[in-house]
Amino acid sequence: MRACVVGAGGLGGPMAIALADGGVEVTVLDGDVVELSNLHRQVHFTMADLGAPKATALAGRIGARARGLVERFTADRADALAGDADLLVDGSDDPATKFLVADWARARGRPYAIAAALRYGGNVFTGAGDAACYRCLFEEPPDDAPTCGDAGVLGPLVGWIGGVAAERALRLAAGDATVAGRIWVLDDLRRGGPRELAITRRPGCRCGS
Amino acid sequence: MTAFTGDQVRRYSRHVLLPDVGGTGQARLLRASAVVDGSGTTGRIAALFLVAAGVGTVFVDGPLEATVRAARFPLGPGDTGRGLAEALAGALGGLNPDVRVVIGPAPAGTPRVRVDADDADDLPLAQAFARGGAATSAFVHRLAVGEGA
Repeated sequence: MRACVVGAGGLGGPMAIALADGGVEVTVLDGDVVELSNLHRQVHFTMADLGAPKATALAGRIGARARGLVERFTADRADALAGDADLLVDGSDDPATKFLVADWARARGRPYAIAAALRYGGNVFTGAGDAACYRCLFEEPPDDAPTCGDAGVLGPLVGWIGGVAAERALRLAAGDATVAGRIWVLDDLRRGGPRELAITRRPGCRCGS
Repeated sequence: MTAFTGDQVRRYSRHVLLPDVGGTGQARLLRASAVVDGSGTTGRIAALFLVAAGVGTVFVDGPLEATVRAARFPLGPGDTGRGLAEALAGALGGLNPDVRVVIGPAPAGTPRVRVDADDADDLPLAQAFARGGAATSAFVHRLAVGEGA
């Protein structure tokens, strides 16, 4: 079993580490290098990693079950980067990549988990097979979504959300389809706990055409 | 009001941007102490996030007599066979120069993160991240806004 982990940052780190701990081989993709502003939440890096590519630093931390590729997940490279993956998980920081990962996984019949965190909240969408897809819920990428660099993020939140994403991805990897077509949502931890919602397929969504 | 160094401004920039935290909240975190109630899998993850977030003094209080049998994150392969206290001090101690890490009990009244019910040594790391991250998220927010914890 191999997972392609898109992003080696606050979400990708816990996801890749936890998937490897669960017995899954991981390919980690990230084109960025480790910066000091990452270290308040990216606990898989140390000051010795500053300036190093995130993908290879994370893979080195995990050991034999991981390989790191200093690349972004793009439409042109998706087949080459994820073709051998049984499962895709996304912890990238831009909506366009999340849609690309979800679309590619859905089209190739691979289960997937898409995780996001910002300020005091976040979400994890899990898809597989004919269940509702990421686009059934979100339709199109927003063109003005804030990032952690614009809006901030509470450090430990990424551990929580990355851990939830990994738990759910491991269930998908084990063939448990009961989490497919569902979203785990934490609106704002200052105002309440997480909720889980079942999403129904959206008539007219490209996944059904 | 504490003056931040340039490195601190960069390290904590994603906190300083947050409503409720800002420079005032981050300064509170840097002055705060906290104790993680557990030295097992979840406790180690919880401690890691407190250290990264810049909580000034982090105590890890749990059973420590054991040697590490099979090192898992955040311990490294070189930690297998070492004493747990020494391995934990190594894994947590070098992460953030703003934070003092103490492996052992904390003074009475130190705010506590409770993870003991989920703290088995063989807990899957997915659950340890989810539980350790959840326990410390609300906790760090309360410390930052000065509510104690």
